[in-house]
Amino acid sequence: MKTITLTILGMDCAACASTLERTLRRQKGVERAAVNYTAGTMELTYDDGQRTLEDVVLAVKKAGFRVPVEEADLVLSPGADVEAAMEALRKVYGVCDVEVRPEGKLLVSFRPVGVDSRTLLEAVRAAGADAEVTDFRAGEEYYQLDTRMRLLRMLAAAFGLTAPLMLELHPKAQFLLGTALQFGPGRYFHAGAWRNLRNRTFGMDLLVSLSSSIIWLYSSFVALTRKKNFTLYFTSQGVLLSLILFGKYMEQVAAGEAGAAIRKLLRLQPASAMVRRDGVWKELAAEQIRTGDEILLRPGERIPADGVILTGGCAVDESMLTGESMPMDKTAGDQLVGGSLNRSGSVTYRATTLGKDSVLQQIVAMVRQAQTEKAPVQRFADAVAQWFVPGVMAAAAGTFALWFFRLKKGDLERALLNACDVLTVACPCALGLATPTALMVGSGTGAERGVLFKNGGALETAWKADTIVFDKTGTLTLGQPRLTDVCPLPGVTEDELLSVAAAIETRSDHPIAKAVTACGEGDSDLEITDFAYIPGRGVQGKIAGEAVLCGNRGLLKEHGVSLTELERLPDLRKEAKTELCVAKNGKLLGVLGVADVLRPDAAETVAALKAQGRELWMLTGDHAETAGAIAAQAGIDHVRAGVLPEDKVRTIRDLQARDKTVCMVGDGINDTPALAAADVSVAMGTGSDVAIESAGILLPAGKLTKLTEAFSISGKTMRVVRQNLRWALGYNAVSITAAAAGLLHPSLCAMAMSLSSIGVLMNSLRLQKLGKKKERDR
Amino acid sequence: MQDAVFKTYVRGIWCVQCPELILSGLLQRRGVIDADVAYYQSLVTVRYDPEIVTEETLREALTDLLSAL
Repeated sequence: MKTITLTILGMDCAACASTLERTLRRQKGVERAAVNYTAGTMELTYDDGQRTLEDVVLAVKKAGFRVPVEEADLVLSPGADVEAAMEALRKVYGVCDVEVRPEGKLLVSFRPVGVDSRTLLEAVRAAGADAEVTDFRAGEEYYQLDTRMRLLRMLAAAFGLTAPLMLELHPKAQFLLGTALQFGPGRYFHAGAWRNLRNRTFGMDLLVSLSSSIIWLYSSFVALTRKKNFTLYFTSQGVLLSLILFGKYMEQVAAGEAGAAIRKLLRLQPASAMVRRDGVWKELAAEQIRTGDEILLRPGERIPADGVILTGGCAVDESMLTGESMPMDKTAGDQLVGGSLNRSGSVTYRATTLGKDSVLQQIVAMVRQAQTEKAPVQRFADAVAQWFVPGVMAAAAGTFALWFFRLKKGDLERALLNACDVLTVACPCALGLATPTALMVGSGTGAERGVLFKNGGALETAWKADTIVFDKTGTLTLGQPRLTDVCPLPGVTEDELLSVAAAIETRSDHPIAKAVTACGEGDSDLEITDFAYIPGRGVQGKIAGEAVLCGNRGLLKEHGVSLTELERLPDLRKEAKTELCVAKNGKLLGVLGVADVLRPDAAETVAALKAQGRELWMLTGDHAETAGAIAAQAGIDHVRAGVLPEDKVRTIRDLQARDKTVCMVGDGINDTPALAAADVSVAMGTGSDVAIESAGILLPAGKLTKLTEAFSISGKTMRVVRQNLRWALGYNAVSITAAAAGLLHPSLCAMAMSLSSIGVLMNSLRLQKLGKKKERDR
Repeated sequence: MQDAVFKTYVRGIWCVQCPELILSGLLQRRGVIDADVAYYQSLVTVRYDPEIVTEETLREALTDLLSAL
């Protein structure tokens, strides 16, 4: 099964998107097809055993749209095996042809499935040659410009032909202009209407084409046959076409704006980097970077690729990932994210992940997915849009009948005009655009702020969460516990206690284990056998043959270790610390205290969420006393401690059974089942690990305040969606009625209709301000 | 590490492709932290690190980018 994102050309309105989706879904081997009209792309999951990429392209063509061909020029290094290189290139997924051009150039043609310079170069390299990409003619902006130019030309023609019609010209002259309009700029809509009919869908093009054709036909008939006492409506036809084309153009511009966030992300990747090759530092094009390359990074430069620092130190602005522009200090061993900005310091680092798997590309993919996936509310809008146009056509026919047979008997002109008004003023686009554009801008803005919505559903549901369940360690707390107390029982030394604990904990990755091993002398020479980590309890194993336990009281009880001696030691749990009981050979040695500090913004966030009327819960495997103390510090009233992973899921289910919309906040690694069970799932503090599958929302920054931002963005986006839908439905109801009543003039209808779609788009674009506003706050 | 910002109105942005090209060119420059082009107002805003690059250099770069359009 392959999942790809294809650029689709020729979609004029949202109805086209639905048509294409349905057509593709009917194809054998296609599992999923989601089209984003505003972005001009289609996400497709298909079985590449049953269907090839070219089959898909053909299917798209049959539906009346186009999948473009992109090109790249490659220059092979001298002495390279041209045949082998061409073979290798042809095998790259998406490539449809490779041609040899003069002067050792290769022209590679490929489909827009995400093939980039790097992919082509790597293919050539694998064939044993080396090359340079000299020109790359591809990308979304490429097509947007193309579409816009086409519309502009049509628009200019329409205006040009309509202007003279404003003057009182001879009927025959008007007829000529009107005909030119009908078959010139008008073709745009007729072609669209034909496509609609062929695919058995009903879109706006059909309405406009019908309306303009009726007006033209009637006016032509009158112009050519009547001698006196008549009015021609070619002007209206011209104005109609002009205004609607203008509306379409504005739509394109707005649609382009909607995709601004992703484009900005992609711009953050530097075009070149200072790479060490053969011991010498060279400035190379970004796509020439290979995994393992050593790169020099200077202050003020953007980081060319993901990697790990080798030498030096720097301060990095990772706002493209986290939304926070406060520079983070990084030294040898730390990760760098490609696209982030080095504010100060120089480092050399080794490139690790490149291309599609890099953090930046993954974020882009995530935002694209959120923009394309059909959020539930969109499906509703699509369903309504389905019967909308036939409904309008029926209403137009009804209007005609009403006027011709009843209200003004025999007045063909009046009846026709009013019917056309109905056809023109109806705006199905607003319905189709209402949701997708808002979601597009919302998800893009979210990404700018470091709130990554992975799908439309998350964006749609987040704000509705009335109950929030927090995991404790790593979510509410910093997740970096420190060893605070070492309390051996009499007869045992501190060193002994610590070394036993540290020795067994070296095998565990748990944050608590790390706190112990950081301070203790974990002797790695000791032989550890039968090691086991028991979730919610602790660790056990044998050190040099002796049974050792390190965990909570529950663990020791289960192993039959007597806990009576514990009373002689201070109860660390009362101090909101985690108590680690250490036992060797069935005998208690003492306890260690580990404290995990609450995140600085926890209390503030909790208060804010509570003020919004949400119910807050904390779940933890820790003991009730520690949990209680942390919860009190944070301000959370509902706590469940001693919770095993399965219990977390059960708690969430219980809450859901009580009709609550539950949002689970965790670290994304240890809470997978719980995150999957919740209605809204948030993974915090993932940093550059954005491949977390289990959560619907990622907050790489690891700041709890981002959680309130996530709800805010979700709420505002959905508010815009509702506004758009209400407008779309309301506007249509009022205007169609007015048109049917004969209150409107054709030109007015055209203007209203255009303004309606543009209005919906502009309203959605308002969401962009959410991103910009934060900039000013810094 | 103090940021500096400069805003300037530009002439010569007529196509919708232009903001993209300007943004692209600006963001690649060493020292530029963030850039924004408001198409309808023809306003370019650049946030940069004055210790690495000067406003002069950036204005020159902007002029170069605009003339290349």
